[in-house]
Amino acid sequence: MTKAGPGRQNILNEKDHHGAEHLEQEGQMAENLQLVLPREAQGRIGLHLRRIYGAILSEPLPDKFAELLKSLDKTERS
Amino acid sequence: MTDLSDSNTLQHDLAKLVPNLRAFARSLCGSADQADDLVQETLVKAWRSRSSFTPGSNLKAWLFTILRNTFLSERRKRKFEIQDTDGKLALQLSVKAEQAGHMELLDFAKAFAVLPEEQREALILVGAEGFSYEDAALMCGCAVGTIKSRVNRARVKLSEILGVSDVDEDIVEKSTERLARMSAR
Repeated sequence: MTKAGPGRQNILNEKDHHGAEHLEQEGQMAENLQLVLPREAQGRIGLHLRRIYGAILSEPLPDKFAELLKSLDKTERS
Repeated sequence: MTDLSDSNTLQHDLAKLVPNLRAFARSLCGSADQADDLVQETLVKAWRSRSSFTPGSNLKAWLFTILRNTFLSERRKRKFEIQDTDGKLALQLSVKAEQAGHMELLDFAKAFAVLPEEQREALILVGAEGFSYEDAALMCGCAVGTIKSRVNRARVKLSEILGVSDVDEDIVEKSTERLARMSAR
């Protein structure tokens, strides 16, 4: 939550052609967002999201994908 | 020889990313079958236009962009059914969560399912796939601030439903609007 937190640092590192005022606003914004959404909440949301998404990632792949990838090469040579 | 080994490498890399493409497609399409069709179409398109891919750049971002564009253009042509308003990705998983007795995950899945489509997409790209805000913005053809604002809205809504934080609606509204405004400049 400190001003030197990683979120603020990232924002300050971004190139910005609107000058310091804009940077200050974005810095303030990052703080606002942290205020409304504590780290714990962000962490739990991320955890659930990756769990749901991860369940699909780890599903076994149907054979049709391996076959398709193989056939790509053949299409090329014919 | 060089060409051949490059092709083999690309095929290998494509194969590794099929699970990610399927998961992302599942979050866009109404059914798993449609999602798999979309992935197959994406792989073929990617292969045909492989000369336009810059080696060493982000292959996953490139593929996701092709998949997303293909989905949107198919949907315009109505090949795929009307947009997934039910968030099927989340709903199908919610059943498993229920069976496992994981109530919080179940609540999360239901809450995720009712988020607006563009918020779900932003949260998946950034929160699940780990893309940078910049890459996600390029993929979605919008400003970085728009992606940040979508992700923020989605997170706030989800945290409310999970009851992990008391949020002040006014602050959320103001901060997301300001994020969007800044990006529009």
